[in-house]
Amino acid sequence: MESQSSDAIGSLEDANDRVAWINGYETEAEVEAATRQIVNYFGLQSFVFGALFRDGERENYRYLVGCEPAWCYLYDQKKWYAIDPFIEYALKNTSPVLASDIPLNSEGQERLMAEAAEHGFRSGVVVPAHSGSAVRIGILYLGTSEGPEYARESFLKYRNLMRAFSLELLEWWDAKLRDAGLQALNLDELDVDLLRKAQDRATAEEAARELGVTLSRAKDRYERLARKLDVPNKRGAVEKAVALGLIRGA
Amino acid sequence: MAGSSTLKLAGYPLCLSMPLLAPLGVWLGIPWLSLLVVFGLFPAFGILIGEDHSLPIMGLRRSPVLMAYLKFLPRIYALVWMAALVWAAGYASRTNLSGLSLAALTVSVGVGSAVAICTAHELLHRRSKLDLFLARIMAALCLYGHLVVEHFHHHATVGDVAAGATAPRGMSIYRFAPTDFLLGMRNAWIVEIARLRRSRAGWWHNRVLQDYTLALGLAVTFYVSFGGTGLVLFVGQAVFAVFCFEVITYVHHYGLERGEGEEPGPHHAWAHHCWITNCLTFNNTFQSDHHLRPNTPYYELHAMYGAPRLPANYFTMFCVALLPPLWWRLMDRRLDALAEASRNASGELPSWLRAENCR
Repeated sequence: MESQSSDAIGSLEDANDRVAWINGYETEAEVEAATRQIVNYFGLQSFVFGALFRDGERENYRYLVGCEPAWCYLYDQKKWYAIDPFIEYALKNTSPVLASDIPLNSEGQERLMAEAAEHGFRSGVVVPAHSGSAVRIGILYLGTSEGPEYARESFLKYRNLMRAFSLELLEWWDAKLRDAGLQALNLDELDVDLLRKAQDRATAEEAARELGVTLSRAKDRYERLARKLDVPNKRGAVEKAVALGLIRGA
Repeated sequence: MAGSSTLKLAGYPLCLSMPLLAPLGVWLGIPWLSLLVVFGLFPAFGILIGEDHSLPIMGLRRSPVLMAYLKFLPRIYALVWMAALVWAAGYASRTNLSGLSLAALTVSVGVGSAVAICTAHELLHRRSKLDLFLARIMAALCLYGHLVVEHFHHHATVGDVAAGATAPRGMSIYRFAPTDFLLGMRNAWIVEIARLRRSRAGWWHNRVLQDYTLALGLAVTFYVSFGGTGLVLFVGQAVFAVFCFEVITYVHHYGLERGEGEEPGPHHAWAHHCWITNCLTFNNTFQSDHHLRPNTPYYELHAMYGAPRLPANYFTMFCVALLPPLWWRLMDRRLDALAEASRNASGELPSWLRAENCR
């Protein structure tokens, strides 16, 4: 896969394939390299993909970055993510849009956009991605140092592929964080299977018989899951697991 | 020799000989070659080579080539066995075989089919959809449509006589085999009905029904392609394979009942870690370990301390099980010794009753 992705993208079909391959990559470096090639195919130069994961009151962000490091540093230092108009847009909308079509509502946002223009994001496209659960949202920002007309041309040509691309990136993060979540909570595949069975409204006995474990082991595991996920019961464990992205919503 | 893990890796492909014995027997003009090899040569080799002292190779998962080899071997077995089955049906249909020769060919193919059920058992525990699909095809070819669903039920109920798979003391194989087959079918049906009711899925999602429908379709295909003789061979090999599988289940679990609230342990399966049997059956003799770690692949299973020992290897015990008075004489004595050991404070098995601990 790596050797295939090292070639420049020559056609729309090729670009489609590259987008479809995203889920097969293991490391962030591989995804970043592939993303850069796809963005170049769109005729754009810079990108940031932010994935937002809500865990109760907390919000976690993960980024894939393909732009000037100085811009990332500045953005983080000034805490611009708190007023970023593109994040605001992505939280409430699903359609890809030209960055220039998103209204700026404050001086802070205007300053943010002026700085962005200095760092390779003079114009661009914002592509939200929403998962089945409202707890995971992605935002792909594709940028260029050229003017808005340049970004518009790319947007009109590749709008659908950009949307698919953003969704693939979100799914990739989703899978990566699911694995990390399982590891952090020290859960194994049996725990996940038991959660899925509980989500399917199986009793502990039914789950045990379908998964090939004894009833007492299934019950122990459900109790352990509730403890680890800090919830009172099996039903709560399922809800929390969905919220953390460990299992998909029903 | 039997302690070398590398040699064990090289020994696994020996299983491919099982389905190939049928065509080899025809080619050599020895129709019963398969039975001679399996119940004569292999047990003799088993005694000569001795018990399996090998341990799973450390760091195996870091070697993609070895992993691919070990993962693909059961799939290759499946393909070789299916080819042998189709070949045998074709050969039987175009050759004017006597009743005895057809029986010999059927049993020869059936030997490979019995190991195919073992192989399907290995595949059904994997998470890959391809492997599960292959396991279901193999089960259907052996007219054992409830294998996949029932096997998970078995893991949940190891040692529970009422749930099947464990023959109570004093039951003969001839009573156990049909009873267990029908009980297994009933268990699988109940599991599927409960699953479908929960998920509100249609009756056609019932995997037991699907796999028996597939089995029926395969039987019709054999009849259309190879005529009545082909169908007789198809059904005959399946009945033989299922019977063999029931005998092995009987040998594995005879009399080892699990107490109320007791968790499955190494002492809920009989063991005899014959090296050659392990190579031929994807480590099927490490049953105790498999009960405790059902999703562990065959090449990572090992002998467990505390598993009670069979008097002889599986092939020999298979033959003994067919003679109930001899079976009871040999095994009931062991059950008494096990009960005696469980009453001791230490719970230690006497050395003659301990399956060799390879760790």
